[in-house]
Amino acid sequence: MQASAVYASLNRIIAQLRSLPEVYAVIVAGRDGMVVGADSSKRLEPRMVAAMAASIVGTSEMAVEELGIGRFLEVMIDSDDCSFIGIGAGDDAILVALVKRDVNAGSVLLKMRESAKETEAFLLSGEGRELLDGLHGRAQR
Amino acid sequence: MNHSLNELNEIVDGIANTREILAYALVRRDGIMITDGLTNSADPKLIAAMTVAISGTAELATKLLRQGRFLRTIVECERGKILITDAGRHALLLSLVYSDANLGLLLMQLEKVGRRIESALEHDVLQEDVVETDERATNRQK
Repeated sequence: MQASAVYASLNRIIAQLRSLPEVYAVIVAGRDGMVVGADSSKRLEPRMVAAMAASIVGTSEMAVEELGIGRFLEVMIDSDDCSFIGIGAGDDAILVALVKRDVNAGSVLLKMRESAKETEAFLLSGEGRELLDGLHGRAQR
Repeated sequence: MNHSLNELNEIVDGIANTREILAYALVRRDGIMITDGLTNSADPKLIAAMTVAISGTAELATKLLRQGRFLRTIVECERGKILITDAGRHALLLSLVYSDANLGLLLMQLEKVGRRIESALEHDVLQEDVVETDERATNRQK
C-alpha cells in the first residue's frame, strides 16, 4: 500500500531513503501496526512488516522503560541476509527500513534518523493528521 | 555442584566482569530466568518475559520476510543499548551495554559466550533427560 499521491511530502521522504543503494524497503508504520506509507519490492508484504515493527517496538519500549535507561530510540534485528531497522517517528509512527547486510549501517542510520524527524514533522502537520485520521477511520469501519 | 553448573557460573562471572556490560540476564527460551545480573529496580521475571517476546517476534519477522537465519536484536535507547543474542537452542542472553560501547568487538565476544553457554546447558539438559529416564524406569518398576 502506498501513501496516496496527495501526500507528496511523505512519499518524498520515503523515496529519498529508498534511493540509498543499501536500502531495499522502506515502510512507515503506525504504532498500531497500520501501513502509513511504503516503498518496497513486490515480494515483501508491507502490512506484515508494519505489524511486526509495531509489535517489536512496543515490547522494546516496555523493556527499555523497565530497565530505566531513558527513551527508546531504535531497534535493529540482524539476520543472515539483511538488517531490519525500526526508528520511532514521533508518538504515532515508526520508520522501518530493510538494509542489506555487510554494508555501512552507520550511514544508513544517520539518514534514517533524519528521515524519522521529517516523518514526525509531516505527521504533526495538517496533512499528516488527515492521513492518520483517514487510516484509523478505515480500520474502524 | 556439577561440572556444567560450575562452567555456567564461570561464564556468567566473565560477562559480569566485562567493562562495557552494565547488566545481563540469561533466559530460557520459554521465558524462565536462568541467572541474572540486573539492577535492583528491574523485575527479573518481566525482563525474562520481554527478552523472549522481543526475540520471538524478531525471529518470526526474519522467517516471514525470508531473510535467512535470525542473528540478534539490538535496541538502542538514550542511555544504553540492549543486545539480545543467541545462547544456543535453550537460551537467550540479554546484555545491557553503554551507548558508546564498541559493538563490533562486544558482539564477537557475546557470540563466543553464547557458544559456551550452549555447550554448558546442552550438558545440563542431557543430564536432566537421563534423570527423567531413570525416574520413569523406577516408576515403571514400582
